[in-house]
Amino acid sequence: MAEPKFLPDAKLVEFLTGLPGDRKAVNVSSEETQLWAELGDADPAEVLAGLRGPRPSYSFKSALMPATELVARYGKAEGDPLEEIRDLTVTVIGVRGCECRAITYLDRVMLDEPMADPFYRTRRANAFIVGVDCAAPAESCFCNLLGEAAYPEVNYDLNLSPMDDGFLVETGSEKGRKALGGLGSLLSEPTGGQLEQRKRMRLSAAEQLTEQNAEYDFPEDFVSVLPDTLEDLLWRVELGRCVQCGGCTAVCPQCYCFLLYDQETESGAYERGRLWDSCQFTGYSQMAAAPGLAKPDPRRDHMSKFQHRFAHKFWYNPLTMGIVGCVGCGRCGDTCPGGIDLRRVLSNVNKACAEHG
Amino acid sequence: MGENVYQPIRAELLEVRQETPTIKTFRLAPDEPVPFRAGQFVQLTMPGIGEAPFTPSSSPSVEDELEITILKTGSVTDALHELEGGGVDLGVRGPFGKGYPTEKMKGHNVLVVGGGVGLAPLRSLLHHLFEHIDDYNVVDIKCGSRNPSELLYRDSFQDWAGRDKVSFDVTVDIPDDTWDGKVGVVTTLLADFDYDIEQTYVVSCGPLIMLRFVTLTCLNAGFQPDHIYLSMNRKMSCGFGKCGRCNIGPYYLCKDGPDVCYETIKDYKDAFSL
Repeated sequence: MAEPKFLPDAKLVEFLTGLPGDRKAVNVSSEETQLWAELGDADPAEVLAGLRGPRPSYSFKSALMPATELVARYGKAEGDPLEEIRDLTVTVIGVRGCECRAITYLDRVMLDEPMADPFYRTRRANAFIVGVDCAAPAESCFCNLLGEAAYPEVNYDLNLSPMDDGFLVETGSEKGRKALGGLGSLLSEPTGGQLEQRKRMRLSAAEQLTEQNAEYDFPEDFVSVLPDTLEDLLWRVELGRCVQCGGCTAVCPQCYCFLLYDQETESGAYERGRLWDSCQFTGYSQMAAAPGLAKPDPRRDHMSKFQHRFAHKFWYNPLTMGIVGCVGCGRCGDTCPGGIDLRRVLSNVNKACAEHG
Repeated sequence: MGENVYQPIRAELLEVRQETPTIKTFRLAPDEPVPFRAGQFVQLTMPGIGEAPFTPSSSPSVEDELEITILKTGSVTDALHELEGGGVDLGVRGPFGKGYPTEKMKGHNVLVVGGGVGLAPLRSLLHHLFEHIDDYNVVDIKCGSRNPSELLYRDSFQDWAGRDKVSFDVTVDIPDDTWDGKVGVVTTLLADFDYDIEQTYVVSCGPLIMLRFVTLTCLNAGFQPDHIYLSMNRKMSCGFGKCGRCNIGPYYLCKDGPDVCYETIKDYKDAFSL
């Protein structure tokens, strides 16, 4: 990694505008809400605040897997939707350390051979990822409990570390190095004090995370703990708070489930789309049945849906991929109308298991 | 398949055969070959309605055509059952999944247990076994259905039963005036085995409740848990392990199945739940 360069606040928007990308999404902070906005439409002051604030309440994942997209046309219809995104570069500015790690997970699922997902592969290859350090993690963040840092370590092309009056810009890929080529005049060599300030900022974020999560205690090995607690009372207590809205899976940077649907267009052609789905929804795993017969569903009852989300992330994923399906961004807890906090659930799982002896 | 695996390959519907009052076989000619191993499945597109997963019932060695035997049981299959052969275009994607463990089965006996429309995917396995019968020992076919009119492939029974190294037995749950054969659920046929059951693979397809009892009966009889392969049912959308819904524990039926070894799934509590 080359030495970082310094980018003053006054040059930030010019710098971001000069990056490659047909579409650019950036973190903004507006009225104390963390959002994504198109760079061209964003208020520069809100961009500066956004990149210094906590992560947005929605994950960046729609840049790699839009909530809905067309995946095929057939019958009288012509044109492969894949060709329409072939050269589309989406630049995402403000991807947090947790989300950069989520990309590793999504890559494992969506690029898994022998059959990779062609839409994900194309968007992923074209994407330009600008990471940002979390100078001020949200109260619900818990990356530290999963042993991870609050700044990007993988999967970024460039990374921005917020300073008092600017950002330290670091390259993380060849693509990132190339992009800096024409923007060198906006950057300067950092002072020793600035490098020192980044160290202090990262340390302070880590300390904040340690402090705010001090009461939680995750199992060392989820696979050996989780299955033994599935009958415990703690699950029934948490289930009582769940209204099956699917908010948790929608905001999760790693939830990737989707459903294919076919439809006829007005001109009598056919198209196939896909849309995000959620394991929490009724119908997600429901099969067909002849009229008058109950439709078979292996996870019909609410508890089996509720536990599936945890089982998939903390039991099955470690078995098949060697990593958990969670990066500790805490969005699911923030969005949940029932206040189901994953930290509490997993700490209680740990406790219940210890009580079993 | 091309790069875009969501794109259905156009497949002309050549013929529709009524098999039972609720089951039809559809003969298709895809624009490009869809070479499959026995037990692999395809996603069949009913244009404008959607897709559903089916394991072809024809021989894997026939490359330019495939047959799919389908029970009328939902929006896609209802629409398919309205079709008549000739000039209609459907779509296929695939093949997906691992298929039956025909390599492991070599040198062993194979007990094939089918119930209702569950005999459809097993027919492609039977084609494969019959075409390579020298590689296998006894092929023991046990099948059943709810009633005689729902018995699938009745005109093939005589041919199957008359083959060397093949034994065949059939039963129905509820007999009628036309039936003078055995009566009882298909597990009643799983009593006497005149071959070495330790050297036998079991392959079963049918309703989940049947798979459960076939498994229990076979385990009690002494078959090995890692030699019992079950065609499990789950909702599938993508077909290749991305869309998320067809799992049993950590296994995705679309890429790790759809036939899975009982031993691998037995500890996951939703494996046999309805």
